[in-house]
Amino acid sequence: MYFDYFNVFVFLTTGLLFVFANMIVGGLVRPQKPTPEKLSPYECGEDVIGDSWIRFDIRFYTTALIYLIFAVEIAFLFPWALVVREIGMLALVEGFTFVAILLLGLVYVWVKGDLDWVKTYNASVKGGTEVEDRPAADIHGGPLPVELLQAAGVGPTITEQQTKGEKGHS
Amino acid sequence: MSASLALSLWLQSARLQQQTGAALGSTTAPDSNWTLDLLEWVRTSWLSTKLAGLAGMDQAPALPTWAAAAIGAGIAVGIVIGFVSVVAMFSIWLERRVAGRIQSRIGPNRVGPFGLLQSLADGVKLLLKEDIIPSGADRKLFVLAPALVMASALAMFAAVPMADGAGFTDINLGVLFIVGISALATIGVIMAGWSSNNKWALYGAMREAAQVVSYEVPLGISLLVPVIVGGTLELGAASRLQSGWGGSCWFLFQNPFVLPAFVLYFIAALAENKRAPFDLPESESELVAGFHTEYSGIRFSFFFLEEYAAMFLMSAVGTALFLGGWNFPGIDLLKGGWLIAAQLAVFVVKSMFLVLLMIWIRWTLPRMRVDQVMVMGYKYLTPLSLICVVGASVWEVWAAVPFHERPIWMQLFTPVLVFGVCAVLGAMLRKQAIESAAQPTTRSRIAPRAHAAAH
Repeated sequence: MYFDYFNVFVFLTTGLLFVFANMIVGGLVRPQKPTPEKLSPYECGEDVIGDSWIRFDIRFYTTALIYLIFAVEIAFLFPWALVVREIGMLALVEGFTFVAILLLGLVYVWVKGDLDWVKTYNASVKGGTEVEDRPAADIHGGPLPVELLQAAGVGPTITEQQTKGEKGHS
Repeated sequence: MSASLALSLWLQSARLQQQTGAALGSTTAPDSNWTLDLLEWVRTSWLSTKLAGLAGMDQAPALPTWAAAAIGAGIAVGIVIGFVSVVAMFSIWLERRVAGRIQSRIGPNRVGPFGLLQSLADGVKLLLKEDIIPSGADRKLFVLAPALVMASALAMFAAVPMADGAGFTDINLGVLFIVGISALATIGVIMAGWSSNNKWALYGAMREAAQVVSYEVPLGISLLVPVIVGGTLELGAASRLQSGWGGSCWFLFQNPFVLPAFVLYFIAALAENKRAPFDLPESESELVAGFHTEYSGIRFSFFFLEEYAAMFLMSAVGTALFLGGWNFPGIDLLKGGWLIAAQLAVFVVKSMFLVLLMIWIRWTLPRMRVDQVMVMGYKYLTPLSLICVVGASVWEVWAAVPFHERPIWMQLFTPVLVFGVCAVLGAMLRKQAIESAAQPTTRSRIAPRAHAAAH
């Protein structure tokens, strides 16, 4: 058995070495003529605006948290799955209790709306967050500025916005 | 803390597995390995004895254990690298040919017979291309990322049994190991996306991370079902448990909940490998090339190779745990080397069939939207796979004994059900296909010129 895990170690190391060996072999035959334009980040030919190492959407963090809970669940269920037929009824009840508690967590997250990628806030749902009513934000930040939408001819006029007191485009 | 948790889990499951292995009477893998046997054979061979005689010794000296293990593993890894490269190149060729067929064009057919050497030619071309590391990139991570991805792909192959007793290793925690190591590739992808200092790459990597993490849950849960049925985490032992009925007693036919679990596993595997319709991390119409936008030349080819290697690997795991591994009706009529060769062929053909299915799906279905992808993993696949686990465990506990000791009607129930469901679904799809083909409006909308030419 220890031989098996040693084997895995050798596989991992060889995988790493394989890539570097190929890079070295390739380095002998490939051209290397860097220019500043060639080395700049690719943004479809435009000049690069700002750094890419930016703050990122909090939703990814929530996703990771939810995953963590279920990953632990799966890790605990594997030993259970091995022996469930042998132990029988007792294992069944214990396993289902465990799964039920975790399902409760899934239901909570579901009702709270954290499973939705595009958030729709609903204050009527218990536990929902009450925020200002606005169109769903796109992935890269909030809704587009009103001035921009007006320039494109799709935004609301200023008077409309003032009279109705709305925020964002309708 | 997580390390101690993993250790205790490992010890616990190893102990439990010993018990269950004894209870089921399953043949556990022998302690020796064929690579070690090969070394021993070389040591005692005629040539080695002659050479030892020249040195004044009676027989070639035995290697120390660690050296033998290292050389044995080296042999195995050499074979695996060759195998992975060939399989990946063949899959790339297959993908391009199938895509050509589906899109009414020819596909690569110039390099070698049927264009089979196209991937090799592409590899040589990529090797000769300039290697660019963007000036703003984090060089260390940028260089390390493809290596990590490649290493994880190779390490996963360590646990896959291709034939009885001829696996590279037979890890006793195979399933858990594969689920764990496949997460390593995700870290490599995030490293690639983050270190590139490119917005496309960053978005691609973040999407990839979120998607893979969401689909790892249904993937892991649906893998629990064959573990419940077989009572082992070792892929080789699981394949051995499916050898009854002259090689057709697959897990698929042992429990009625294995078929839905397999479907869920397959969908989750598509998402894990970022295959269409879940290829949001690399969707070219939104993110150029996703996390590998900045990678060029041979560095890019490692990501490409890994994608196809991972496709084959996910198919191989599905084959070993759901579709009977190397077992096929009538295969046990063969003996010795022929048996091993036939088992290898059966395993590779079954896995390649699943790869073909993935390719077919990619060129047939349109890409999903990012929010649909994110919602589907948790809201549909996870509850459904939990239902499968519950159903399978209830069924197994109710049956109470291993499959071969059950009454005959219970053994026959699942195969009849599976074939019945497949027949009904097939008939429905066929009817639908005939009806949609009979409607001239849809066809004229898609290809008006072809429709006009037909009249």
